[in-house]
Amino acid sequence: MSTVAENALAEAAVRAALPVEPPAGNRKLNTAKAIQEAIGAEMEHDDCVFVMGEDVGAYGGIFSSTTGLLERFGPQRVIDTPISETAFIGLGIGAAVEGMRPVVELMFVDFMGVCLDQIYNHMAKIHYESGGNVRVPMVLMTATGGGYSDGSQHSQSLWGTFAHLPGMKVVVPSNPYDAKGLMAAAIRSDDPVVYMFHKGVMGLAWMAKNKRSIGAVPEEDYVVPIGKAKVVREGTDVTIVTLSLSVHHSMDVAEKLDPEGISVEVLDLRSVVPLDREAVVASAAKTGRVIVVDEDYQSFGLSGEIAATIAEHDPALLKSFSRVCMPDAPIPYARELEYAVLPTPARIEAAVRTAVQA
Amino acid sequence: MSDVFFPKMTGDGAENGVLATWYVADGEQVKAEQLLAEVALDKVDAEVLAPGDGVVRLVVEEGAEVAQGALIARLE
Repeated sequence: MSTVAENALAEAAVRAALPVEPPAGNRKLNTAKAIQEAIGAEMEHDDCVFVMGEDVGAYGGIFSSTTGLLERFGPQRVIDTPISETAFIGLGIGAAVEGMRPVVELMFVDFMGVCLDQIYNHMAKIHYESGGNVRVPMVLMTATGGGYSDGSQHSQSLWGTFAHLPGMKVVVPSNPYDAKGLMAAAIRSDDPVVYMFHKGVMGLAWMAKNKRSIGAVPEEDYVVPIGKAKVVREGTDVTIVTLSLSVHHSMDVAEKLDPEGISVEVLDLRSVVPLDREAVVASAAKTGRVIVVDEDYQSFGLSGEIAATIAEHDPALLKSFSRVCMPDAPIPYARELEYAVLPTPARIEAAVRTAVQA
Repeated sequence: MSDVFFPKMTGDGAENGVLATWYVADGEQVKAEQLLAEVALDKVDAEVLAPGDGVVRLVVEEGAEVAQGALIARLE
């Protein structure tokens, strides 16, 4: 075995050594602080990890994903870039190919339009085109989601788009615990990972905040494995397959309907690529009724993929299947109109009530 | 025993802020420098850390409007 291969194996063993989903403990963080903590810890462990993007330094990331890192690690490892996503994502890819582990922030996922060539033609393909000889251990971190009147170009989810294009892992945490463990796993992954945090799960003081955006997070380093969904609430009547902020809304609905004797299982996918199809099928087999709640656009995306996954396993498994997604139209700015299209608790509740009649 | 106050966030200290998030529960044992709360004033956030070890007693509720410099918690 070559020294290079031996080193890679030794490195992989070190990375694999972190505890997997340890007990949460008592200390609470919001999701933004959990992400900061994970990036900071990886930067402490590995000089190859650095952060780059628009306003990630002095400002600390516009959604506080990188607060405090510039003060700890200095401007050579926490790099504010000009507003040129193609340039700095390309720079990240080049650094990753040369052995660094960049965490590159694309301020809003909506901005992928100006830099998609770097993402899907280069970041996502180099490891395939080289027969696995050139790895791209890069994290592309980006803010997603709506609900705060930021208009059609700053409110999209788009994880289905990244998942559709092969070659990238796509992780979508819903809470502080998963956010820390998934970020550690993403930075330690030798593959490109798109890390998508919904602004509404960050627990920021200046945004509308769900109670589940603040939660217990271990102080120790750990990983949440990429590609493992989690049953966040057990139930028997209907399964909600969901992710990101919609997990919070689905949990609120499940808790509301519980006293009526409606038992809702909530499956938090946590990763879109790889998709935990086994967990989806297992829960579908248990309840026979599936609702996909997805803040991404309805057609040609994640919700259809869930339906196909179940049907390919056993077309007779389901008594009921429905979707609570964004309609196939740009997201309105006006609050009333935006909340008419978002997957709100009211829409989720109506879908559950319909499903349990089936 | 020590008191924890809403930080002074503006020059004259005149405006009220909001206790945005409690990161600890009433009666919880906390350590020095542990994050107790986040407060917000005019779209600026600030962290409030524990001044020492102790059992924290919360004096104001999350979401409450609070004067700068006002007592928000006690450490026993």
